[in-house]
Amino acid sequence: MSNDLSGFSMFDLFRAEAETHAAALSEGLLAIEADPTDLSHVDKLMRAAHSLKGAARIIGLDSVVELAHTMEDCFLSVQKGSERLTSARVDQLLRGVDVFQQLAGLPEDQLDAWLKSGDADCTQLAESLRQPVVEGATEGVSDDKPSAPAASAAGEEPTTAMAPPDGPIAEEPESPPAGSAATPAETSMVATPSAGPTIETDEAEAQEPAAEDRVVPVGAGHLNRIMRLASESMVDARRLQAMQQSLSQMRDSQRRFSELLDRFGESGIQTDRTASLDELRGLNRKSEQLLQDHGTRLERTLWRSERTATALYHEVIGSRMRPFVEGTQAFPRMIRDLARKLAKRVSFQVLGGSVAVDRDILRKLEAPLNHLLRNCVDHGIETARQRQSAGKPETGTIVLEARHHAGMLTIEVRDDGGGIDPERLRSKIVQRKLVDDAMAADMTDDELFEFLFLPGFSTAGEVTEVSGRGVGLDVVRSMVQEVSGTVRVESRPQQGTTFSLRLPVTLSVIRAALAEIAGETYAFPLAKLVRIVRVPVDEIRPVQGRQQFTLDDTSVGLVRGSEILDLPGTTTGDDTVSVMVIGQDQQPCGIAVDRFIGEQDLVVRPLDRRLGKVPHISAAALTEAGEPLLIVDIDDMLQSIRQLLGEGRLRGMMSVAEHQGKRRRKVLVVDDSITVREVERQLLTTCGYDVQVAVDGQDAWHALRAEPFDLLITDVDMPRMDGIQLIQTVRNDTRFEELPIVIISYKDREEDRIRGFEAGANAYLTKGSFHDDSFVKTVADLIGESD
Amino acid sequence: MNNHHERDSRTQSSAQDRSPSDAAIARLLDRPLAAEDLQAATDRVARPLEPPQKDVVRLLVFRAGNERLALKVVDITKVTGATTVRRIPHRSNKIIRGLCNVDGDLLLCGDLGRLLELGNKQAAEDETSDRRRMIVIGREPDQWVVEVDAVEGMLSMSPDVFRDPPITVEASLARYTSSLLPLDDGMATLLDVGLLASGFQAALA
Repeated sequence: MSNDLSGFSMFDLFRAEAETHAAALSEGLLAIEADPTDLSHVDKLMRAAHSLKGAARIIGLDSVVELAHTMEDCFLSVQKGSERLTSARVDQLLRGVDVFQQLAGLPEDQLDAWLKSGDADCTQLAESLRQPVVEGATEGVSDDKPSAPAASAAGEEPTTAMAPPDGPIAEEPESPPAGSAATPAETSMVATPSAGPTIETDEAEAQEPAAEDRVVPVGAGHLNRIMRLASESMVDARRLQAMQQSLSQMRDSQRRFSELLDRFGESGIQTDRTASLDELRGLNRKSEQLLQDHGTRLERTLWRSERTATALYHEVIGSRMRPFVEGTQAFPRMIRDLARKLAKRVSFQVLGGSVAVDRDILRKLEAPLNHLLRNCVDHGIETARQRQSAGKPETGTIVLEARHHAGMLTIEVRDDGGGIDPERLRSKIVQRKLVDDAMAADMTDDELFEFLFLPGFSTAGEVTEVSGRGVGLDVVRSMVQEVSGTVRVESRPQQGTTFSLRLPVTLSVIRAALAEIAGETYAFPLAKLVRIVRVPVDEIRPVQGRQQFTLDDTSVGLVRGSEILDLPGTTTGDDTVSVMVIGQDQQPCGIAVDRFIGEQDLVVRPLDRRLGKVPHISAAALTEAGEPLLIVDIDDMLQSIRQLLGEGRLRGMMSVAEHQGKRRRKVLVVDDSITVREVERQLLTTCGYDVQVAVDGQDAWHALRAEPFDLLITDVDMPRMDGIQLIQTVRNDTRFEELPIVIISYKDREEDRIRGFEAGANAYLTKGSFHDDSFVKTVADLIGESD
Repeated sequence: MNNHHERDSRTQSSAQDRSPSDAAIARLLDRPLAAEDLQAATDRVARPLEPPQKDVVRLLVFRAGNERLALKVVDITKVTGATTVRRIPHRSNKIIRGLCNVDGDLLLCGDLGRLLELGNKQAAEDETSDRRRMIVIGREPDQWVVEVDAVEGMLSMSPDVFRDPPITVEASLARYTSSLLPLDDGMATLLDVGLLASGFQAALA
């Protein structure tokens, strides 16, 4: 069939249809499962199954026709009330949906291969749908013996690696009665291995194309308006051409005027002079008229073209936006499958589905959100029994909410589960020697929660299949930081946990107040400013060693902007101080600036990635004069001001034991994760080593050649040049034959170790080694303790 | 072929009607070919083309501090007029100057003079000079902008004439030097863009 050209395009159509209907089926099934009494979705389900049946018949996929038909029958009996949809039945039906989804993502040339295994699976699945489901057996299955689809859904790629439609059916006890049991079982044994590879090739082929060739969805309305505005701007440009002609008319008239004027001076005869004077006057009037016309047209044209350009710009920005719900479609199914597997009851809600989210942010959000939601089901929500005894409803609730707040996109993942126990976290941090007892005892909950974002830091008691696979919240944080956002955790024991992601709406335009600090311009987003005030110097009083002034009967702590930003301070010598007041919901703080400049709309540009998250700065922009300026991250600044005003002592944490004196041992740390780099740098600096960092193998290789090092510590998986290549390169150079090399990787399989040692590493550690002293000990063993 | 013959006959016929000098020219051009001339011409045509100047490297030579420096043109994205550089709090330092706007892109700017420890002679004079240029080096995402005192020009050179840097070159400059270039009026130091990027990167971390 795949050789038939006409069948080719039909299959394309079928795939598009399969995708739409599969999504509708999945959505409807989950809705019915959540509320079996609500039959309003059955109609939609029947229609979807029916349409799929028709589509499959057209391209001759008989087994798919049969499957869709059986599903339709099943919905029909639900509608008639002769069958109630149990979770086990929904499982089966969802497996059917998986088949359609698989087909929807199948490249044409693999259809034949798929048919070889899929045909039998479809028939078998249809057969099992015709059998009554044994009620009650389901619970046991999903608890004790995780079925294949659940396991695969919990694997690397939950959205693409859809469960194979075979296998589990035969394993489940509710499968056909004794007489026919043998047949499906056999089929499944044969089908499992053959279905596997099909899916793998599928994934390999579905690799993301190069950035330039990437296809992105843009709303048709946007596209139409962009086209219209683009042609409009062409017309505007032509109108300017026409204006050039009127300008040349003016030039002609002007030339004639000059000529006449010259002759006027030469001419001696009175009458001639009068005539010339008249002509001069006439020409002058004409010129004036031309000039006026030209001015009016220019004004109109400028106005038009500015309007078109602005509209075009906004339309282009708007076209980047997609509704939030587009990025969440895979989650309900993932959560349902996971909850069933863990025998938990979870209801999942998406709020703010229509909130417009930057397309690129939406795409980047998928993995972190997937991780956070998975965490909620696995660690957050308790089992029904635990919840019952805690006096909570048996069904846990997970909410994923998006909203625009104060010019930022806020995304929250909330659960009403057990929450994070700060004391357990505290002891874990001490146990892993990240900080000492006294310091840990002093830490606030917020400070404790920060440790959750360290790589490899997991509070889970044991590593389960669901989480604890070495990828953790650090991945969530690094994604968020990539787009200059922040992520925070709030948790109350027994009440639940909330992860808040605050992301910039990139390329969006914000209105900001511009102020000068230490001779340079900074922008304060208006959305987050409480007030801009000028405070007379004599109203500022020191209270307990910090500056304060009174605003609306509230005392406001005052900090110099240059101090926060760590810039050389300037004194203006004025008798008033210009103050930006921030802190909308909480205790306000004031930032003293050198002077106010004004307000301006700014196109937000992300900062260069190499800068990482710059403290107190969220993004950059250009002034009207085209000079760069930085946009202040007000939340971050607020937090720092609070600390500076005496509420925290994070600074103390950072500057532990600055050793000086003798030559310190120099260590080069190579890792592409800024978090890992920082952890390593801090651990080693604390021990008195002189640490330099590099972001990948190539960078490290340059650094090594530039100056001498006593030790190289490298990750394995890095862009440009990976750790193994780096070690090989280093060892091939006679200068570095003796250089001790340590590998630190997430990978801890034996073959990874062997590969590392073969390349020439002296030691191989996993990232877990930060948590005990094995990392520091290894370093000391290799190059001696620093003194 | 046909065309050729036609033109020949036309030349001959017109030569007969024209002035004596024209006729002389026609005679000269139409004279029978000597065997050795033919051989020489054949040899000339048969000779392979001049081997293309192999491995010629295009270089941009510029001045920074007291030094004449050079970069390979392939390593340079852009050269523009000097623009304002904004400090970045908590990130800017001796070597990292900050952000600058190059044709609408906000790029990181490093201080080449400080990285190479060139020393800044007549700084005050050069600060205001309109010969100052921004050079965008490297490719995304490892681009850096450096400001130089003046760009002298571009030239092509075979790497065969590149010289190894002598040990006397000042240490920090030597660290980023790949070779020395003999120019007509002295030497220029060819910098290694990869090393420069790493140097700036290290200053950033």
